[in-house]
Amino acid sequence: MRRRDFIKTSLLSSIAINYGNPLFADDLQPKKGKRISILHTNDMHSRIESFPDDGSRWANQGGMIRLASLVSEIRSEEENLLLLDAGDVFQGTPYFNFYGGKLEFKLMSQMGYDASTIGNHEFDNGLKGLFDQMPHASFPHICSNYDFSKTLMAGATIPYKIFKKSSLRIGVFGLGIELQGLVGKKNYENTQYLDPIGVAQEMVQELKSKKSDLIICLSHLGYSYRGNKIDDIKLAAAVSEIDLIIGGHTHTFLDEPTQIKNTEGHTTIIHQVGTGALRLGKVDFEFNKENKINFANAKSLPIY
Amino acid sequence: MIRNKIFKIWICPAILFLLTSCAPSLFKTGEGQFLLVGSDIPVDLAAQNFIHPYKENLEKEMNAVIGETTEAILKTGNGESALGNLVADFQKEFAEKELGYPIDISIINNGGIRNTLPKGDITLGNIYELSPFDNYLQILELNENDVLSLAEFAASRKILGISGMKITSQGEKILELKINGKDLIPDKKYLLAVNDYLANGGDGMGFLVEIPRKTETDYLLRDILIEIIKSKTEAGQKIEAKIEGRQKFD
Repeated sequence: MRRRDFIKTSLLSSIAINYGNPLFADDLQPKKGKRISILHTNDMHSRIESFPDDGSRWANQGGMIRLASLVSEIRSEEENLLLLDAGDVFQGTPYFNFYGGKLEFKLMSQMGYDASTIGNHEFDNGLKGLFDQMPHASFPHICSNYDFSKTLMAGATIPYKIFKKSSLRIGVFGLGIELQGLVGKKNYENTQYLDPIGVAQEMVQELKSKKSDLIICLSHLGYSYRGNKIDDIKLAAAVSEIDLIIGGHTHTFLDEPTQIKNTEGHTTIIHQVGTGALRLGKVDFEFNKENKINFANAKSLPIY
Repeated sequence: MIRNKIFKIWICPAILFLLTSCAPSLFKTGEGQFLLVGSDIPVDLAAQNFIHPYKENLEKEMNAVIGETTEAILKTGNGESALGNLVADFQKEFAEKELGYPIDISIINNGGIRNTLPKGDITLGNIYELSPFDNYLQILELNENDVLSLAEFAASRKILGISGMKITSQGEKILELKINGKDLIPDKKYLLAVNDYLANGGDGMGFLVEIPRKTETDYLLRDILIEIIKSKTEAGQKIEAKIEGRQKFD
């Protein structure tokens, strides 16, 4: 059965402009469905302030303290909203080198982030370096395929969470990248990396059985690689029923999300918004009475 | 293409659907939320106030002195520069110390070195300015031909700082090539210390992309420089470098 159908943002916009006259709008108001807006970031890399004013490409753009204004602006407009991050919050400016991630987590808490996941750079100061910062995050770190049970991070992350917004249930799980060869062993110690596809299949099953209306994966696997290395594209093709993959790691600036239709006919949206809080991703889902997705609409908002 | 397929199949139902169910919220989305945020967007005041004391303290830290030069160390030169030599040497020294095996060659792209070192005090801020990019150390396993390609690239492009390899060339032709004082040995593996930007083909070094990696580390070039400078300072040494004729181009 075909449950979810996605159409292109540009199509939506042009139709809205062409046909959005009051006559139609009045007629349609009572049938308006339930709506949730997913805001997302990835690879913010300790970009607390905007990129420095030095004439370079991103001068005066991005940064968490600007992102914060944009988020509050959107909060005032959207009833149902989740703010999510796909990892690599740490490393990239002296703020991380000096304060170890405290400012990043505190600012994200102040912005009202609902969840983040664990990127490879979260290990940059070792497991203890990450563990010590966890109290500064008022939001959960959702990671399903790192087994921290034999480390001091045991119990510090959760494998999934179901967020309830109005009567919608949004299931979120998280996938981290293979650590061996990317992160020094002394930094991840006995963390076990589990196969993302197997874990994702389990997570989808679990979230379905708990009646999730929408399934989101916070992925720090990376958008796309040549060869066999698992990436978001391969994940979407291999694991059915994920509605949205919020990607990271490869710092990919997708001006519009990628849609992958797998062999079972399910379409997954993949979105990733570069680095440095230069953009805020926004994916809107609207549901009808039975909480089936009517359409999804996605856009990245540049933070200039 | 997948997207086109969906587009084609659903264009008619989609229009009908929008007209009968979703147009008001779409209209709002199109009008209200796709606005580009101009450069005049204010930073969030609460967030700015929150970071203020940390920012002030950070600026103080950036002025901390971590070492001392005997002379200004500059980027000027034809391929080889004093600063390029210094950075390539420090990268090699760090890699050998941390990874525990000898490195044959170390290279740095001069374009990745964004500032020079002044005569006298080196502050932490100097190193952040010199190396603002987050480039990571990688070790590549070169064969004899790869080393030759590298030397030819260095001679033709003249954009590298090099440690461990000495090149004399005339035009594009390599006249003499020595790796740590020795001729190239066929079938020997040479370990190259390089940043991930170059290893991934940056600055025209596409030939590095397919070369096997021995290790891809999470050591930032900037941290490498800071650590080596600090260790030399602790050992009572000053920081110096000069052009020594490692790359002689005619």
